[in-house]
Amino acid sequence: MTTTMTTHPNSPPADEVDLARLARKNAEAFGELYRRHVTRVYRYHMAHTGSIKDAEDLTSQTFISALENIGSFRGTGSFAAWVLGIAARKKAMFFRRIGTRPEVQMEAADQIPSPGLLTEQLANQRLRLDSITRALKQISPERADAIALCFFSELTYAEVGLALNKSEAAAKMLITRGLQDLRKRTPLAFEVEP
Amino acid sequence: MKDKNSLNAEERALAEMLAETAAQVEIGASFQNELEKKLMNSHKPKKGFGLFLFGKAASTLVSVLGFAILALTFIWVIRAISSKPQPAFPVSETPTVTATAAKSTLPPSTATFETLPTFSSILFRDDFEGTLGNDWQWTHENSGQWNLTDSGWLEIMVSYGIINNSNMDNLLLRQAPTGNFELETRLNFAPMEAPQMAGLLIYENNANYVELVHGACLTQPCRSDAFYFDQMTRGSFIEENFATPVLGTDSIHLRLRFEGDSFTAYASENGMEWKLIGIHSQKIQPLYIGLFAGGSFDRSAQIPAQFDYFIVNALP
Repeated sequence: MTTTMTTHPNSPPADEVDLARLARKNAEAFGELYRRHVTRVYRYHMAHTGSIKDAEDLTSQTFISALENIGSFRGTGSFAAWVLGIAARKKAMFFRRIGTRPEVQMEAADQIPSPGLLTEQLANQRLRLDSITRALKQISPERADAIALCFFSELTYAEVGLALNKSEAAAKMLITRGLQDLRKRTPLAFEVEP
Repeated sequence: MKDKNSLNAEERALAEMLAETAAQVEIGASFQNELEKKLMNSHKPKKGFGLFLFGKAASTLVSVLGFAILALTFIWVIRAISSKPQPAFPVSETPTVTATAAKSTLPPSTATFETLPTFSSILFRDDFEGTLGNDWQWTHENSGQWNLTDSGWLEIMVSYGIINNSNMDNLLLRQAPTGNFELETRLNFAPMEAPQMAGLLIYENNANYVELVHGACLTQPCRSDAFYFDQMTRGSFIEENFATPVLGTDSIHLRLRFEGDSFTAYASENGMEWKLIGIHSQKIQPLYIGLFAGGSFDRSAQIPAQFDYFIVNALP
């Protein structure tokens, strides 16, 4: 397959509006959007599930749904916010279906592919991700969602708001309070030194 | 981090840690490519109705020509058209064969066999016969997870956790000698899963240490079962871990030298011929030396790491 489009990681939303419009008919245009955003979607799902298998399943579901509904993307916000909104709904359905937010599966975490990491560094990363996933389960789901979107998917406050159907101010509040919760009510604070 | 300037110092530190951890989560390349192919295939435009009609017409034309030219096939064609063909027996899908094991890359160029003289100024030796030698200190001792065997081995069950996180049990340490020195042990260990490891340690604190281990690791630049020589300095690992394949046996000798500001690691099958694993030269203060077994994610794993002896030699 020949890729004719180039990746522009910092493209303005207008570029993506055109791409999304093109993606309704052109597979390669959708492929370009997919390549730009798949990592942020995957990281969002990893933050919540801590499981490679579940994160991959949810990432697949997110993009299949995005493909099916690409015609509904109007370009009123960024494509990232739109696709992460789908991701948030897929994640919510996933946890509703299984009844609770499950414990992190360390067997799966054991296989997190992170090229370039050294032996203990790899172990350190797994333990830290494990701690974060557990801590996110101890705060309100809405705040946990905002935290994951902001820090794992690298959305701005405004984009977090769009993804969660909130105003930018409300998203900012969710993130700030989420961080306060993580600091005061979970062991995550022990992992950092201000 | 974008627009996070309104956070206070504690919140910002936490936010930075979250972002840093997130940045290390990499999506699997094979999964990413497979999903992309799946999406591309799903996106293919469906055949239009005109194309469908054209296909039907072409098919009919071929049938008619076949009918005119090959009289003997006429009856077969009529039967084929008049009744929907059924397979004589169920057709099962052919399983797809996929490559599941990737060949590991060649060992680093530094891995060469060489015979090294052992300096004879023994400062300390413990053969773990019956009791532990003097001046050992356990850090995070879990007494149920270590013992001295009747055959004279120190056996430490691989612990959960890692040194840098201060959550590894049973680090056996003693004060490092002054000046240059060399540590040596014989290790019998078969790691079952990543990143279980056991070996020698030169330790300043949790943010500064050097470890020479036999361990298991699944992702590049690791090898599945290999020697790893890691140095942590100010809380970060030096890039190179000198992953080197094990020598073909679970029972190996490890040697770790401290000379000036350099740390040099060797391994051997027989204690005579030594293979250079690598050299680290970032400065740390060697305050303690010792043995450990950890890195397991399975808290119930009972994987023993057995140490035959521990020797400290003075080096010139």
